Amino acid sequence: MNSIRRRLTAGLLGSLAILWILAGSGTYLSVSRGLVKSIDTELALDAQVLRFVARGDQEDTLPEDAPLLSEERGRRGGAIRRIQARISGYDQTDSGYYYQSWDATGETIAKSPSLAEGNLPLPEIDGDTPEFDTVTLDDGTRLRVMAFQNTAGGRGRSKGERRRGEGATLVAVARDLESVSQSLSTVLGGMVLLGALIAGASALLVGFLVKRSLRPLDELGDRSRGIDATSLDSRFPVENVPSELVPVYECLNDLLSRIETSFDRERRFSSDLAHEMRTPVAELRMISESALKWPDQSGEKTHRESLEIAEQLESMIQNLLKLARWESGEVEVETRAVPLIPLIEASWKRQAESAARRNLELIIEDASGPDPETDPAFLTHLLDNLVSNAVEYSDPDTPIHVRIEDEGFEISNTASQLGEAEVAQFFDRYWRGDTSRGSSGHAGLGLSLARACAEALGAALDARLDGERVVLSLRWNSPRKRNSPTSS
Amino acid sequence: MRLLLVEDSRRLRETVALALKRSGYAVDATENGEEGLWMAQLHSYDAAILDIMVPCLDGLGILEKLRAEGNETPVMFLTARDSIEDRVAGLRGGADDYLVKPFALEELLARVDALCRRRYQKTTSQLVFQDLEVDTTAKVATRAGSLLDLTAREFAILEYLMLRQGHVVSRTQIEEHIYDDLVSPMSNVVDSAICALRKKIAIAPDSEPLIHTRRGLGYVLGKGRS
Repeated sequence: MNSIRRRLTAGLLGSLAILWILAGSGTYLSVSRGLVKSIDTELALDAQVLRFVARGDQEDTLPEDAPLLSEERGRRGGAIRRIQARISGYDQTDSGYYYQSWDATGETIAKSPSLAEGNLPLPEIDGDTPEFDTVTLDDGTRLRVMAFQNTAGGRGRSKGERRRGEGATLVAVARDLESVSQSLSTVLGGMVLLGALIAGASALLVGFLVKRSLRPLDELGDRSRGIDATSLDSRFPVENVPSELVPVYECLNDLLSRIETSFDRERRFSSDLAHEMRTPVAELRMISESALKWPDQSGEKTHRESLEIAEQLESMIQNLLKLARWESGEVEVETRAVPLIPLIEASWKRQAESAARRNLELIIEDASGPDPETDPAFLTHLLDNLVSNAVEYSDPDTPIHVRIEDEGFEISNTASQLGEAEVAQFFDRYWRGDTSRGSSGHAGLGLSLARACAEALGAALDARLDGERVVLSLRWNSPRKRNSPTSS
Repeated sequence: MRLLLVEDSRRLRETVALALKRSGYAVDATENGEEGLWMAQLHSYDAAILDIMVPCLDGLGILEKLRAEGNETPVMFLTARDSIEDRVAGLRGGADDYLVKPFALEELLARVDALCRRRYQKTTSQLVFQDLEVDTTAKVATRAGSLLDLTAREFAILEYLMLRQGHVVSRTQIEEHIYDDLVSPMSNVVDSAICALRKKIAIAPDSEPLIHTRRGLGYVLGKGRS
């Protein structure tokens, strides 16, 4: 069940059902005990009356707490009638009143006609404290029994003899529990009916409350469904939403912001890629169509230019594949101690012609210790891109600085035409400082490749603007293993 | 017809320029926006073909400056920017046409032809003067039904005279519209070409001469209003 609404509804209804069952059970048990207790009270009163009758005492010896008798105190005749009326049920066959008495040996002395051939179980009583129990007769009749010890012939016996139990009999009085069972059945039926009504009402109420409580989630879903690639600039309003959902909304807004940035970058990349491809394709098409239209005027130059375009497209595709491979980490890096300065000087030499044309100078400051352990081939590729970029964008007649430190190295050059916005786009694929596409040999992939290359080497390449100087900084992410200075 | 081409891709610039020249146009080409603007200000081109993303000054900037100066040379953008926004911005900026790379050569030639016609308020590629007919699209000229065998340069001169029929056209104007920057002002290429053209359109000994010289002024197709 993957629906929060269903889970909540089921959980709440289940919990309510358990609570209602517990409450119903408690009520049922309470009523049941109350009813049995009232029977016990009646039985205790019956026992006192029977004990009184059996003892044959005068009216003035009746216990003070016998309300029936005390109410009628002073009206002797009436009291006797009431006593007789109370105990008369014990002399009838189907009255639901039972009694039985036993002598000290356990022999039955007397029993009520309602017991017929049956017997009440012989009680085991220690002392004067009466005992209550529920028993079932052989015919299945359930009875509530009170057993007590009775000292017979009270008038001629001393109180000491009574306390010791001399000449005592065991008496058990009982009442049928049929009326109690009927009452409990009625209570149970009522509770079941009430429970069913409450269950139905609870289901409706819980359903309504859960639906209402989860409405913000539905609204969130509706809003989310309304967002597509064309509306990534929309955001979820954080105002007037439940506090529990605020972090979710904020996370979603943050996610949308990142997706929007990513989409913008991909759109720019797609647009730039299309742009990059359009020009050579247009060239190739023009050359081919011209050759077809004026076949007698096409010659070696046409073929050579077609080949150049094919090579340019091939290089573009290879760079893209290389970028994809490096970015996905599908590269094998073979590390060893690599002296940086010779590699930098070699890269500079490859750019010497462009650098000389712009009167640029390379200045290397070496403040590092041992040589870094890295892959020389990857590092060469990375340095070529960084140096080439510096030569391309450096102001004429300015120096290009390379500073080597233990943590990495920096290449900086003066580039007064570049601002923060341009530097922020440095590593975007196909970004170029000059928006025109045909004026340089750069395709705008160099720094993207350099960053992917650095990441493949476990390093981080970043760019920042320091006044008018653009600084490209490479930092080895993890402490590099180094050779001793003598080994390099 | 003389065209200005501003395109920063060397190969594309050279190929397009060559194709246009082979089609009879005189073409001045440059890779630089500022230089393109300077050339457009200096010469009276029949049409200009501008790439948008060129160094120094982009194509939109060139167009904006030209229109601000009242220069009404028909302009076509030739660019890789294909979004609706780019096209609208280009056309709203005063361009007469917009062609997205890559493009078909024939389409480019047809559009350039249309631009040049627009320059002279012609809506059809058929130019007619008496029994002389010129189809500027098919690059075919006939007189009294007979096909004239003209070189690209001769056809261009004839086309220009047909477009300006009745008006005296100076040698300088012909040079400006038919020849590119490489032609020396002191040369007599125009006179020689006119002479050759006269011979070719005189299909019979008694053919009426159509191109007349206005001494000290230039040439005119028909009687002329000088």
